[in-house]
Amino acid sequence: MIFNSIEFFIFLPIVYLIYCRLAHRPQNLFLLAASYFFYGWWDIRFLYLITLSTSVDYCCGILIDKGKISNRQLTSAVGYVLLSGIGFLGIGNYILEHDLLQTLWMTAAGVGASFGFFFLVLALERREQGLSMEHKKKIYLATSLIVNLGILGAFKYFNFFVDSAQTLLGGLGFADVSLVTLNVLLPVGISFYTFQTMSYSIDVYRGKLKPCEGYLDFALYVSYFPQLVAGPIERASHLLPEILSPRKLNMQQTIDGICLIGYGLFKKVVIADGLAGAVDAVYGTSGVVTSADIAIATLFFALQIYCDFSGYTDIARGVSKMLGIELMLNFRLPYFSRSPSEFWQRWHISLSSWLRDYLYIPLGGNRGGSFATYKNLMTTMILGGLWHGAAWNFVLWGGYHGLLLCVYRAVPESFHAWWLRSRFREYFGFWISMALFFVFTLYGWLLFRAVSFEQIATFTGALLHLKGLGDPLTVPMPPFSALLGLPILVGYELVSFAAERGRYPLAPLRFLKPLLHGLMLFAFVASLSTPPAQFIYFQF
Amino acid sequence: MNPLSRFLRNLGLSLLALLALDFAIGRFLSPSYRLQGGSLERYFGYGFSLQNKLERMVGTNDSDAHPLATAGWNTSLPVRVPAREPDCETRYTFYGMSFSNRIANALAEQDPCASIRLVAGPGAPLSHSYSEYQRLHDQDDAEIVVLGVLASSLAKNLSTAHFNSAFEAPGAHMYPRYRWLNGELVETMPPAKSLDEFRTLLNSDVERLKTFLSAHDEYYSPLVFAYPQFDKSIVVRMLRRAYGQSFKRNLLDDFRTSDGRFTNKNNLLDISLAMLVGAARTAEQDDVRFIVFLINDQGFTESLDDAFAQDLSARDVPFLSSTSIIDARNVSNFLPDGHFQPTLDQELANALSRFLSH
Repeated sequence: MIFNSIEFFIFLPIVYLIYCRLAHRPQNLFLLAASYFFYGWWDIRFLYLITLSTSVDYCCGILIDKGKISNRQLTSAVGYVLLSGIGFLGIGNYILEHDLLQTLWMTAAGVGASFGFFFLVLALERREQGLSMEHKKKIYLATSLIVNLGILGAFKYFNFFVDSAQTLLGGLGFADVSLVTLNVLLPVGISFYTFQTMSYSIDVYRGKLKPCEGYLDFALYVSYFPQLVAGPIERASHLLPEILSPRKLNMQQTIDGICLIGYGLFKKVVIADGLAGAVDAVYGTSGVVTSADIAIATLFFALQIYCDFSGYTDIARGVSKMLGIELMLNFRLPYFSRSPSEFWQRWHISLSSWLRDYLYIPLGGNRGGSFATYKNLMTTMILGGLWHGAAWNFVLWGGYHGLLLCVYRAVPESFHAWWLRSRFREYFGFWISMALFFVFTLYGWLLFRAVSFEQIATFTGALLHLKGLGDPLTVPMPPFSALLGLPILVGYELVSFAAERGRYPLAPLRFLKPLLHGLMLFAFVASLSTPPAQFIYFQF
Repeated sequence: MNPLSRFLRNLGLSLLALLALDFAIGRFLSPSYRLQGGSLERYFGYGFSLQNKLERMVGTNDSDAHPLATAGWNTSLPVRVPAREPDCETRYTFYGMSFSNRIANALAEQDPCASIRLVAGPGAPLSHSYSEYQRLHDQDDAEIVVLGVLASSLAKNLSTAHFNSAFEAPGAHMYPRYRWLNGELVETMPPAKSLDEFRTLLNSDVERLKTFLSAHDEYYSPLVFAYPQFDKSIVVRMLRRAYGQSFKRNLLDDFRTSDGRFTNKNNLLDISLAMLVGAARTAEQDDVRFIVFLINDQGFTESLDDAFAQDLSARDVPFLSSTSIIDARNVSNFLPDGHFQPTLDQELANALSRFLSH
């Protein structure tokens, strides 16, 4: 189910109204059922992966902390995987495919994996009895990471690496070698929930978090529907306490949630979907485009991806707010950044902080001298790029941002100090550095959006040589709704940025707010004729 | 003031602002619909009810009607455009739509011996071309008949009127609906066969028109066609347009798989194939050379080839496809109005000449 669909706007009020009438424990159970329904609407069979990941991390969390797991806890974990193997894989597959033989295979695989999981936990518990607790903890953590990364690798990266290997072999003269690929769909949101569950195991391992004792509570933490498919990637230390403690619902929260949902929908439907056609017209063509086309389409893409992703986050946070659970901020006016490090503190904050805490710092961070720092930065950013998708252009995009971070870091301290003192900076530097870094960000988006390396090379060459400047444009005019919505968005972001700096230049014009909302509603109604599109980050 | 009251007050004020905008923009932009005016006028005009649009388009007589309203009602064969070199004249008749017309014109430019006649309707589906060919073939002196099939129009075989499938910029013409019953094509004629008949029907018996469309046209939606009394509101027009598009999208989704192939829902493919084979047999009886031109337009890569190539080959119906010449995924192959680039029309005409010379 996607947030910008009719089904979701039938689903949400029903969930909300029932939820409000329940006590805390039933609320959690109901939210879990609603979350599975929300995810299963897309493809019920992939819920099995979620329950498998949930059970593995639930058991590993307890084992890491205590070194043993009670029979009740193990039974509930295995029981849920077994049930989901029969229900989600078996019955779900039969409902979708009407193929009895395939269903039997799927059920057998699900049941087999459940028993495999059961014996794995038993084996872990028994075999490691002679080892020290520290050693055992490492093994349990490794098990959690291997299972999660294994699921991610099989469904998201396996074919990518096989295809790349095939290309490499072809280049080396082994073109007739045919490697096996998997014929599977990429489960929606897999990168988000595997990272979320891995952070739980790591935090328990680090002693930052006590493991969750209740299986259903933990299952809700993994599958909480507002943020399940496209984040924010919540930390267990933040989300689990909210799930475990009774929530107080009040009208103000609900209203704030509705407003966030409204603004998120405006960003997604009016701006992101409105600009998509213009972006696709340039990036989807193999014909000749001018440098102006590329520049405009890339600028539009920057706005599209921001509004698409931050719009999703706003809706997720709004829905969660209505349910009395605060999700973390994922975007903080990223295009007002003046440096690469500031950009990553403002863009997809839940991922960048995840990468910082669970990859960059464990790699050594900036503790091992300049070279090691650059190496760690590049590794983190390249893997961060790869997280976005199984394609080389995402790796390149990650590498490009890593390079920007390294170059920024390499600038001598004396230059920073001079720059901070300079009078020029005082008057103009703020906006110039913002504009300059925005240009770098835009080039990053070109790498991100390009469909091939050949296109990256062609577009970069066209931009450098100002190819076809003055020629007629290929990029089509965005629809009226997007043209009306863009100044509203820019104005809103500027006012928010001013507010972030403690300035409220438009406060006296507050009485015009209803007119602004009226305009937003008008743009929204006008945009309804644009075909609804999936959220870009669903594919990650 | 408590949060709920404040929220409701703000919501009320925002809705009032929306109404004010609706009123202000509605007054600023002309509420008439004649397909002219500025781009904003056209933009806000897409959502007028079809009844309103058609009433304005058909006018009081044919000379007063909009050109789009007069197109597609072929009551007789058009005059043949003579060959530039009459000594070597080859007579072609192209049945189809603007795409086939453009290929025909490109052929006439390339081949001085080609004498061309065009029987077409705006975005006409196969059912329109087939019925026109069956009706006119006795009067047609063509040596070569080219039947153009446009991928984006194929599902319109289940419609009976251009305006239902192209509600944003409608034409007025109607055409027969074919159904597949017991392995045979069954024809249902529309209640109006000329613009004059249509004008009379629309002005004096619109309920009969609605009843017919409701029974025989899968593209018909009462919310898109009727309720002209709400046309004054721009917001309602925008909502109607959004609904119309969503209705059409959902309808088309039933006729195409996610990988772009046509499905045989409501016997769409059976009906289409029967028409193609039927037209070929008619041409055979008339001793006329016949060729089907499969035109895969934007977003329909190989869709028609997948649907018909094998069956046409098996039934010895000659055909040519645009797929080998034009990549329908490449947007630069298309003009902003969706037609092929003129150079590609030339290439298609060239391919047709080569095909016919074999």
